[in-house]
Amino acid sequence: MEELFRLSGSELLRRIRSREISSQEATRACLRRMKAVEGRVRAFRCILEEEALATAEAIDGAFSRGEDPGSLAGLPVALKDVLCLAGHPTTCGSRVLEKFIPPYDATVIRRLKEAGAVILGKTNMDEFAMGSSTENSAFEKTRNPWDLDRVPGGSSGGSAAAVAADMAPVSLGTDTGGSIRQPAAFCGVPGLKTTYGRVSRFGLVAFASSLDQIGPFGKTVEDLARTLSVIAGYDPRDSTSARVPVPDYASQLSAPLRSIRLGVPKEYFPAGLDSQIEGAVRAMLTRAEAMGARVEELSLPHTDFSIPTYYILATAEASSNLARYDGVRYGYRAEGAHVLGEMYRRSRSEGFGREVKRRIMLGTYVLSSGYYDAYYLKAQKVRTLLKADFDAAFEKVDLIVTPTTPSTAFRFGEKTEDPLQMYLSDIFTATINLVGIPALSLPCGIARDGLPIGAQIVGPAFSEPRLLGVAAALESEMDFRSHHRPKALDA
Amino acid sequence: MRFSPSIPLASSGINHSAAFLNSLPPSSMLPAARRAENLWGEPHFMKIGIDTVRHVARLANLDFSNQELELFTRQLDSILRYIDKLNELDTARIEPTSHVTRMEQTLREDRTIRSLSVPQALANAPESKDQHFTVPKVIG
Repeated sequence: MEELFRLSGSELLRRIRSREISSQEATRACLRRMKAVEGRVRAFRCILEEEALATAEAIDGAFSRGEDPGSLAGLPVALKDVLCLAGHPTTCGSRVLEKFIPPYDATVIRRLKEAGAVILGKTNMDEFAMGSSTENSAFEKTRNPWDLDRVPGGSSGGSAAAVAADMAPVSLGTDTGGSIRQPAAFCGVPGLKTTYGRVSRFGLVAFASSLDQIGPFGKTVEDLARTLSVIAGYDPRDSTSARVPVPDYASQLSAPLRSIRLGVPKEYFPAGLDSQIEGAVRAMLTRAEAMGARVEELSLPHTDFSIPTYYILATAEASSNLARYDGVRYGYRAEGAHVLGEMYRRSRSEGFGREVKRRIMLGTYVLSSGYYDAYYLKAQKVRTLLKADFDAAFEKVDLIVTPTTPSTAFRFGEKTEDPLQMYLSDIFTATINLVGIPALSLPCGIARDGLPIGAQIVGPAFSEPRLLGVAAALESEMDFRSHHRPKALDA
Repeated sequence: MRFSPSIPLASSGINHSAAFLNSLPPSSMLPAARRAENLWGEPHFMKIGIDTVRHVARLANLDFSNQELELFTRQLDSILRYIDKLNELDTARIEPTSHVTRMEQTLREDRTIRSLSVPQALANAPESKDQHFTVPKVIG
């Protein structure tokens, strides 16, 4: 018998809309799958079974009355626990927010609800989205469904693992330096980091405000497109959200690859890059050429400077954003402090994990009196040069293709012991956030150890229609999902 | 599947930044920083000392043990050395970028919209009384 939980989000939507299946059947299928595998994967921070079934029942009722409950009507989705969901804990993977219950919905969640989506639960993450393995969660380690001894990537590891393990067809993550694309690559699912400003950040607990963006994971590129059409768009509650019209992305997926120019930046294929990863990405480019695309090498000359720039700007913004956790209005408060200043310091020192403290310290230093020009201002100027690299590249090509990650999913503890390795897992993704452009990770192959490999496709600002169209064409040609799926959970 | 650290992107400086990114056993990491010395075999000049780190911790409202302060001093010193790579670039005539989209200011329309009620706003407070957040006394 065909298992509903294995279907893509788009296929579930078609069947629900044609009333071949009900939303309750789709939702129950996901909940049953969770009962079977979540104990081993641990992708979720909380599962909202009753609410999900009640929503699904309401959607089914609307359909039977002949109403249209919205473009995602009846679709089960999972949400990274950094997005505020009214009335339910939103922990951000931190002890600081363990008991925080938002009084409002993030704009993306309100839009999902209005489009008829069924919220299954909240997913695990690195504390305040700082990390590349989800090992920095204060609560639990999420496992990679392809190999339970390996990390799912991070910081949106729970959202990626939930989709890869067939517990949710679609999920939302956030991406500040690679936190959607890197776990998407590690878990063998498509994931999209949107153009800065494309999706409202209202209700997203801030890490680095000039870099953070919300985006979808799905089983297929069409899943990403359908979800993006719902969550994208101007929001008066986020002054950085863009007044750019939102197209129906899913209706534009069939664009041919003919005459598309794909750029391959030599700095992203350095000597010593894992040969299986390079091979898988180059094989995808060969297919693209066979489909009519033109592939040309190019240079992004300031690539080597992007990581120091990223760590100055991201930590500076983080130190400022995380100043709000002082134990007064919400969040953890240390017991027994006699004076206000002591209460601040003890609440923060007891509440934050070590990685978060390290980033706050660096960010505070680079912003402190006497150092601002040398670090923060300097990094903002280099950011201008990095953007100029991409502006020049997009004069010559339509999209850029790189590996998403320099390695496949690593083992637990492997990179906490080996800082260089952990650090390098975001090296191909962080620049994209500094430049504010969209990028998508697409599964493009399997390494000899059975782990998925992701290709990153990058476009100019607001080029999501073309980005998704090219990704969908390549997805259809490679047909990764028919050939590979995680088997670690079959037993 | 290991990514060889010999790729050009991974210049020796990346070790420093990597050190910052991770919890490090105090004795085993940062060989480059510990070994660093000048031509005469003297210890290198630190970019940041423990007193500065203590000062930054105060600015950040964080308490650390002496052992943690020493660890963070080494780690911050290393990342700052790595970040110095940016000084290879002449940016004197480059404008800074704070937001990439260079969008117009998009303030919303100036009209009253519904906001949180006082009980909602206080609901997550560790301590509150009447219509106020409660804190320990301000001056000890």
